[in-house]
Amino acid sequence: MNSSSVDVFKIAESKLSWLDSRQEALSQNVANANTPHYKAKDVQPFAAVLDHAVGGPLALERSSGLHLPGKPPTISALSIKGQVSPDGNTVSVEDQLTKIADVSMNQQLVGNIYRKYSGLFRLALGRS
Amino acid sequence: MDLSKALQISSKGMEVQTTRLRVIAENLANQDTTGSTPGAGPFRRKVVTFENRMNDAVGAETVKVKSISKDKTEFPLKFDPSNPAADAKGYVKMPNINSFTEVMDMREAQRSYSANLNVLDVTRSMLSRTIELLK
Repeated sequence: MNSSSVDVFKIAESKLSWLDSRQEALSQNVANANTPHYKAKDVQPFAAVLDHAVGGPLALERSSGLHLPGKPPTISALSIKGQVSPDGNTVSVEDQLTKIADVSMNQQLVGNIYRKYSGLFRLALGRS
Repeated sequence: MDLSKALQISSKGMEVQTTRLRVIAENLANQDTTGSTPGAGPFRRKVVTFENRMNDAVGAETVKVKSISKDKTEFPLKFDPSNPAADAKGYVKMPNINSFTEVMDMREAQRSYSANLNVLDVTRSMLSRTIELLK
């Protein structure tokens, strides 16, 4: 198996822990949907965390100078601007629930990738 | 682990909404509670406020009930000379509770409770999916 520079297990691990932290932030927002002066929170995008995990931004490989430079993948947070209610609370429950569904779906995706990848190792070792 | 923290945060969120619902039930149950001596004050409406505080046991900020305070608005008067709480002119002070306000507040508490329950559900399934990776 080609053990290339990108370690799938490492990326999966950092993505899972990022999703964990995001879920914590979002659940805090929903719990405080009725707290006066509470400002909705979110974690920093995964791209920044990923750069840290793999030691440098991920960029597309260019074999010719004529190729367009690829941008590193960025995960931008859904920026639906919530209204500020009269008590100063900025939590939009709908927005938060959308984000939570997103986190859940991503977690399932990473879980599947992880299982698939470890399945490849098992196959190579003949222990399927 | 962050996911178990998220579970705790959601459960605290549900807890405060339960307290809110309890206070609403108290208000609604006492909407006809007057005093028993002439000129005595009736039941005063209660209001719940929330705040976000650091919870050392959980290791994260959780929502908690800040205070259950009294609504300072004036009591409406009702002409009822037969009531033991009636003053010299025959007027009785009624509780400052509007049942429509309470019912709307109850609906809001119910929605917030379901939102927290939803988050709890999602977090729990995330947790079980992560555990399944070990299989």
